[in-house]
Amino acid sequence: MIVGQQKSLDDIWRMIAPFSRVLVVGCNECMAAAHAGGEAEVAELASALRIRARNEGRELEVFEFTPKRLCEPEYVAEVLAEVARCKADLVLSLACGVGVNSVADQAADLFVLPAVDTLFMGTGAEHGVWLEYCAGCGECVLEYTGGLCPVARCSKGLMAGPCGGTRDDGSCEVSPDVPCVWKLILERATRLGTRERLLEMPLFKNWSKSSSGSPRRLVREDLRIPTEDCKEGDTR
Amino acid sequence: MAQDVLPPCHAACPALTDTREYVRAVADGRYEDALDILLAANPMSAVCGRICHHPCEEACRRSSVDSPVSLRAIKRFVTDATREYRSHRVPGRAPSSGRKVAVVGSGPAGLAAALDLSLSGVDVVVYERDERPGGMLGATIPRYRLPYEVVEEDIDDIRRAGVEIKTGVEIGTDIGLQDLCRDYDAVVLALGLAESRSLAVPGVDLDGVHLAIDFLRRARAGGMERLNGSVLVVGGGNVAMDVARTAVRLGAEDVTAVALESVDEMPAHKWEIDEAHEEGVKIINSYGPVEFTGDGRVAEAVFRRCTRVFDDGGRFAPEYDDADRISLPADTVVLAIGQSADTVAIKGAGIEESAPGRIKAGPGARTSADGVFLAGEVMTGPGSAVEAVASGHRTAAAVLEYLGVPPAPLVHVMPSSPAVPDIEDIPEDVRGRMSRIARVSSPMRSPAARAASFEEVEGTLSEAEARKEAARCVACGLGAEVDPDKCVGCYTCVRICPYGVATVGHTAAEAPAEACLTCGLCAAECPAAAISLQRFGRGLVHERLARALELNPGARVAVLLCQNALASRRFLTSQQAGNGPPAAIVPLPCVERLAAVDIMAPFESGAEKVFLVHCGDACVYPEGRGRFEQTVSRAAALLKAAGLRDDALNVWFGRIESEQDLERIYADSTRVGPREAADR
Amino acid sequence: MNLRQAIGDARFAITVEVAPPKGTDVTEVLNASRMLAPHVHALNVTDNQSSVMKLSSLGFSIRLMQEGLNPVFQVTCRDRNRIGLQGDLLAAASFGIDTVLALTGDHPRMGDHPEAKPVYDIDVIGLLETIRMLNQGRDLSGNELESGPADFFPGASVTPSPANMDAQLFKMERKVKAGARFFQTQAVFDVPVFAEFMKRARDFGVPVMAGIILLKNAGMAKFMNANIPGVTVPKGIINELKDTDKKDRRAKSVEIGARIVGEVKDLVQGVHMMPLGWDKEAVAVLEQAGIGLQ
Ligand SMILES: Cc1cc2nc3c(=O)[nH]c(=O)nc-3n(C[C@H](O)[C@H](O)[C@H](O)COP(=O)(O)OP(=O)(O)OC[C@H]3O[C@@H](n4cnc5c(N)ncnc54)[C@H](O)[C@@H]3O)c2cc1C
Ligand code: SF4
Ligand code: SF4
Ligand code: SF4
Ligand code: SF4
Repeated sequence: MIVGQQKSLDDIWRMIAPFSRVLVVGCNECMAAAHAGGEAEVAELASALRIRARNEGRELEVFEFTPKRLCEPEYVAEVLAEVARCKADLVLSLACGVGVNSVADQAADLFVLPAVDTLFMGTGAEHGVWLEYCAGCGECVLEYTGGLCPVARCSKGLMAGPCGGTRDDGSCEVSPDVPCVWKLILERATRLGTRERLLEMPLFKNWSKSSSGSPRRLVREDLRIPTEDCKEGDTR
Repeated sequence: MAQDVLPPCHAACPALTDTREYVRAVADGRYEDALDILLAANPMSAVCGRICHHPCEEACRRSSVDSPVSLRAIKRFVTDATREYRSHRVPGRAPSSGRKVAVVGSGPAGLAAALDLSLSGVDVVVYERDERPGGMLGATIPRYRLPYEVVEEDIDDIRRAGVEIKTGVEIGTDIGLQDLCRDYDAVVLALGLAESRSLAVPGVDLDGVHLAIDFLRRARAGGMERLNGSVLVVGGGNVAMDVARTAVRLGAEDVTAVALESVDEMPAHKWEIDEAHEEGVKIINSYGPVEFTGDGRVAEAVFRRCTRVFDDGGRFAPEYDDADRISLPADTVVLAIGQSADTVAIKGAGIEESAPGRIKAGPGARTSADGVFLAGEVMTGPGSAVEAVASGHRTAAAVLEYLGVPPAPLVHVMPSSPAVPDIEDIPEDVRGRMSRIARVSSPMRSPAARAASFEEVEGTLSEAEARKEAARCVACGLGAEVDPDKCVGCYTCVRICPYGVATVGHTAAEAPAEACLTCGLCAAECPAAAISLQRFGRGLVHERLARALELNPGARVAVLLCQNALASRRFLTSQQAGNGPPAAIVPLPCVERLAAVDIMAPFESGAEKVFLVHCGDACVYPEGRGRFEQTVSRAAALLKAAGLRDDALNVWFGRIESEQDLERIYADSTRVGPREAADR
Repeated sequence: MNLRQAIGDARFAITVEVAPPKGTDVTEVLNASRMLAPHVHALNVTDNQSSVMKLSSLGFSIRLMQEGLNPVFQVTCRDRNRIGLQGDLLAAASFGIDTVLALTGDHPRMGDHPEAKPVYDIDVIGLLETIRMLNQGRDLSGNELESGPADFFPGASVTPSPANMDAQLFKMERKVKAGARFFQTQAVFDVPVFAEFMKRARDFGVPVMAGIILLKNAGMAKFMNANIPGVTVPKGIINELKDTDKKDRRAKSVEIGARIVGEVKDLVQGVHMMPLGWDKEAVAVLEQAGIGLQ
């Protein structure tokens, strides 16, 4: 899942200053699971905004809407219908950045603002704790590391073993809150007898496939429905 | 999608009283609603609040955890607390159907049938040979257990519903059954089992040997002389216990019940036996009478050992050891060994009997005569008052069908087959995580005081006690319901549930009704708003807040309180009367169930300060307390960010005993602030 | 004689660390370097050590070179991608700098620009492999260097941490395989533990120089125990410092340093001094331990 965290109410308040009819839009998928933007958090944020508006004597109408997700154009269409229905002048998104972009891409004249900081791809390890597990680097190395990702889970994204900073308790020198994943990788490889595999991992990662390259786009011709202006072989 | 789960307490009630709902109504402080719920199923609710053998309690799922909810005591509280309301309550009747029915017998069966018929627009006359209506309830059940005023309470209602009762008229002697058949479109025979069985042993006709029903009848009417010396009661059933305890009150020095059955086989309810014991009654098990001797008046009774009461098929077939005999001195003997019908009513009416004194019952409670029906014990054999009521309902339905009159909406329709609960016991692992909570039972006077008079032995729960006991009910079957379209499978509910109930299946989370304890913590925490708690719907806070604000428009203070914290609903009604403090008082079934957004709701309506009242140690869900405190902190963080003052949100733990406690809450609440923000 | 020659001749190697200033005036560090130079084979120039922004290690290494001193050019993977790293290495070589210490580098979070984006395009093994490529006359993409093969003498670091011994040895072995010709270790205080480590590190056949930090007081020792992974100052040493009068501290510190040097010198092939400003004392340690340039 994608993990995110609501921005502070102060930040949100500052952002929405020019608007008077705000549609808070959530995502009942990742952002729900992240306890950042599901239907319940939409209601919470909307309530907090109303209370603050009342408190500061400001005219503000806040509406709520939580589609299943916001990361496909079809969901955006639902949102736009809702915008029209409540004559909102702003979409305040509690979806991840994908949702915000989706709205912005499809509604040229509509304001959309993020109320969530999108953080990472990870796991909800326990109630209230989320951990980054994957960096979407474009060229998965987990086959070498026994399933534990050094790109996402090593503070330095090291490719060939731990730095010298692993703490005595096994935590990372950069953040004592996370374990040194390289220590875990080595322990696991030792247990599974796959230490040799570690040496096969490419030292020089191809970052052009990662977010460091150009914005990524995946086109599957085997899936794509051909249309008039999008012929086979066209990979725009 | 709403599941309709029948809890075992409800299913176990022979009249299918909606137990769970009346208990919830009591918790809500809606005692009048509770009464309406009770009466909808059982017009003899005041009576049953006193003397019901309460199979509902036997079925209560709390039994497996600690002890059952004191349902009968709560019921008694309800009928006692709502007398005033009840006296004005006039059940609406359907327009007259032009049909007429005569009911013979004013016991619970006859009355229940008469009520249903009358509500459905049938003109009903009940004929009762006694001077007072009520059947066994008024005539034989000892008044230390059931004062007649209580019976009257129930009967008054039935009268208000248009039922006419003619007393002092014996059918079969004063009026013939044929006459009734001619004058009415149908006749219901609800004759009960009016006579005690006797024994074919030497000496039964000696002076001082009585039959139980006669004995009790006379005692109840005050016509029984004081007793001296030893009293022997023959029998081990409830009637025997009533006789023995009555004998104690009539002054007997020594009262012994001799039962054919062993201790475990005794048909009397355990509590009847216990109470008899406490009052000094001795019980001898496994002996049957051989003869009574004496010179004109009984002086001694001889018994022999009973080696077996029932045969392998469970049929009554006693075997004796003649060598093992005892003889006991007896100044009085009362035979309480069973009852039979007095069928004077059908004398000469040509109605078929299956055995002498037993009217043959066909399907749909019909007799062999067209338009003549049976109800109650005369048909079912000996049982309890509530079973007689249930039988009355069933017969009324059959009669209405016969008459072609549709049953009125108010008529309690009994299913044709026995109700089966949808849920079984609370699973063991869930039970293991629950807190034990002491049961509050009805107050009982001391055995010595009880034995000294015919005053009622049991009291009524105080309001505070009834409320406390009602809170023990976990509203089985009204738990978490997941909307699979919304659920994102985040496992929050699973991780939150203090009882290990929630699981995530292939498509969505589930909280099996059988295991869910309806605390609602998961509903409060579900980020997708996918869970609703049937016991406490999502809209409830807003609904009740709106109501509170209507009573107190512009209130700047709101008190969201767990209604289990209230010793009395006066705290609420004083608000409703408009003389409370200028606060919006919002009673809720539980505050642990509140989501942050619920806690924020009053602020949206302009409150500047909110007090959350948690019932404290009285909480049925102490396991959820930590979660509650976290939720409140989260709300506090949001409120602070929204610009409210630090003292905006406050919590108070404890019980509210009086209206003055509001001041205490204001003064002693703990202000809640945001928790330390966690690291990213 | 520089470090490369000393190691080539299998002499007991001695280096000392110097840190470029935060600013443009290098006078003071240069003076210190001149003072230290006669006692050591080479001067390690730190690369924004602890992620605290300083004048670059390349720049100061060039200055040392111009002064006729022998720098060890420390290069971390934190601030440059593979293009920047190769470019800086070539620049160093063009000034005659050949001895390089390849490091992963501390994370920016540890330093004075904690919000900076770290690079770590390649890591230290990649860096050593890069140097190997340059030494073979090609860049990382296989393009030929116009000047032909470079001639770097790369070294690496190792933390002789007892808690993570296995992981550190794993990494050390990879460094050896990737071409590391010498190792400088994280500070050594606990000699028996270090001896354990050396028992296993010796098998790699690459010279190891024990890192020596001068403890200025007990507080510093405790701080290191708590904050520097892999470093353990034994209780005995902390107490020794605590029980010493303030005015005698420097002498005590030197005494401890010299003692450690004395104890480890037979286990290793050299020492690497990290004086953290106590340059004179560092020299005193070497003298007291009876270690001089051979
Ligand atoms: C001593 C005793 C204690 C009991 N204790 C309990 C208890 O604690 N809890 C409980 O639930 N149940 C108890 N019961 C059982 C309960 O009283 C009966 O189940 C119930 O009263 C049966 O109701 P019914 O309407 O079928 O008959 P009844 O209550 O017997 O009513 C029949 C009525 O018909 C009248 N009648 C009969 N023939 C004629 C006629 N020819 N003309 C006019 N009227 C006629 C009778 O006078 C009587 O009033 C007890 C019963 C007894 C005897
Ligand atoms: S301590 Fe481990 S996780 Fe942290 S930066 Fe070093 S190698 Fe990566
Ligand atoms: S706890 Fe309540 S709902 Fe459940 S069985 Fe008992 S009385 Fe019925
Ligand atoms: S908390 Fe809500 S969304 Fe999450 S698994 Fe449970 S029901 Fe589904
Ligand atoms: S309502 Fe309570 S008991 Fe039921 S599933 Fe939710 S958390 Fe568990």
